Amino acid sequence: MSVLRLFLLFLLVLLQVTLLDRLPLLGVPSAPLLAVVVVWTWTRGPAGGIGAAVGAGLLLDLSSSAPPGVHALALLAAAAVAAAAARHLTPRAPWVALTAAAAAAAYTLSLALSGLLLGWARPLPGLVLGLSLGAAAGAALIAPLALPVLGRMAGSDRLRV
Amino acid sequence: LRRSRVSPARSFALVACALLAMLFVFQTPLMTAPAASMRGLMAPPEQLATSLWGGLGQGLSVFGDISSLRARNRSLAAQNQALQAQIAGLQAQGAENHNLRSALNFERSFGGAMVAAQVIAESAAGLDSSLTIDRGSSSGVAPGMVVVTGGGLVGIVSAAAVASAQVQTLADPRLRVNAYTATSQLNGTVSGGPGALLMSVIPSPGVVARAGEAVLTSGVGGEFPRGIMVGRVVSFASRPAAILESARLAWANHVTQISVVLVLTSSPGR
Repeated sequence: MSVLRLFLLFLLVLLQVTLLDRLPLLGVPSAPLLAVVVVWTWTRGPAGGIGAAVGAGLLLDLSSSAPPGVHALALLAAAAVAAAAARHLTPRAPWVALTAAAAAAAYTLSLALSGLLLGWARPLPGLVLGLSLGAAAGAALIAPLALPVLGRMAGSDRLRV
Repeated sequence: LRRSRVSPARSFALVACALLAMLFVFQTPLMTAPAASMRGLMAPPEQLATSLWGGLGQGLSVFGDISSLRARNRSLAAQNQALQAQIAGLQAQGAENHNLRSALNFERSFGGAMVAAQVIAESAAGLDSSLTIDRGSSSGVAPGMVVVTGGGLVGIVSAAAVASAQVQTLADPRLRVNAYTATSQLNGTVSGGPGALLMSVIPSPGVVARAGEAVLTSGVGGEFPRGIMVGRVVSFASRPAAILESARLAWANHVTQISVVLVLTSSPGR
């Protein structure tokens, strides 16, 4: 991952923790990073997705009280879902939105499993479901918007939105 | 990955294993200080970004005021603009005064030493909930210190760098606070979550907590001083012969609306 791309991710993390997390969408904190990682994985392949997920996740971990690795692992799960979807689906907005929603569920589930593994608390199924649905809705809205921008940056000529 | 023979699935699995290993390494006490130092590196850009959004917000609000005034009455635009700006300034000062006054009242009634800090970042993307403040070990802030606003308890300092600190808020499910209901005098433990706070209550025969009743820290365990406002009872579930009863609480603070906090660097009871 180039320095410029890493810097862009850094700016996005800053935007999320200093502004967007304070403007919750429908009562659920927005997760634009999640949508960006999904689209990034789709446009740049698994290697790019892993780099974006780990880079953004570790930066997010440093901005939270969570142990380093928790958000990186969750974003990696989201990137894995996106990589699997990208192998079988064309990069059209509806598919990307659906993939982002599925990736959001994987992201939230990974956070809940990390919490369980580290002995924070037993996540309530209703709470995890609520967070998953909120994150899925947010990511599904943002991902199709990010697709043309990141697609252009990736120089992919096969994107049709 | 495209050029190597390692399949994408294997790459994801390998990186996940590495991250899991890192996660467990950072759970060890030895890594607490390095983790706090690394978090401290994020504080200056976060502070800069927070200031930038504040400036941008002010700029946008002034722009909005001017355009609406022009549309209404061109001849009085300048005068209206000045008045709007003055009102906005007074409102901002009024809100700030209210926050500072409640913080000052808390400081006077509390009696211990404290440090005021500004919230420069917030993380509430997952199940954890934390704030980053612009005061750290150089201001006497250390892990374990209690963080409040004039309204009540915010949480506890989980890590402190030189010029910043992480605050684990009451909305984080990992935090437990021993508390009691002010009128019915029921004791219990409050735990957080992105929804309402939950209080596990030790039953007392014939005693129930009423909706709207204040819940305060009990001081049991010594982690939180006694008498800090936690929230108010929303509902109370009483079951016959239950080992523990439960109450849903409305938190005295809301994590997205906290801008200034007080860190209790020493309490009168200690």
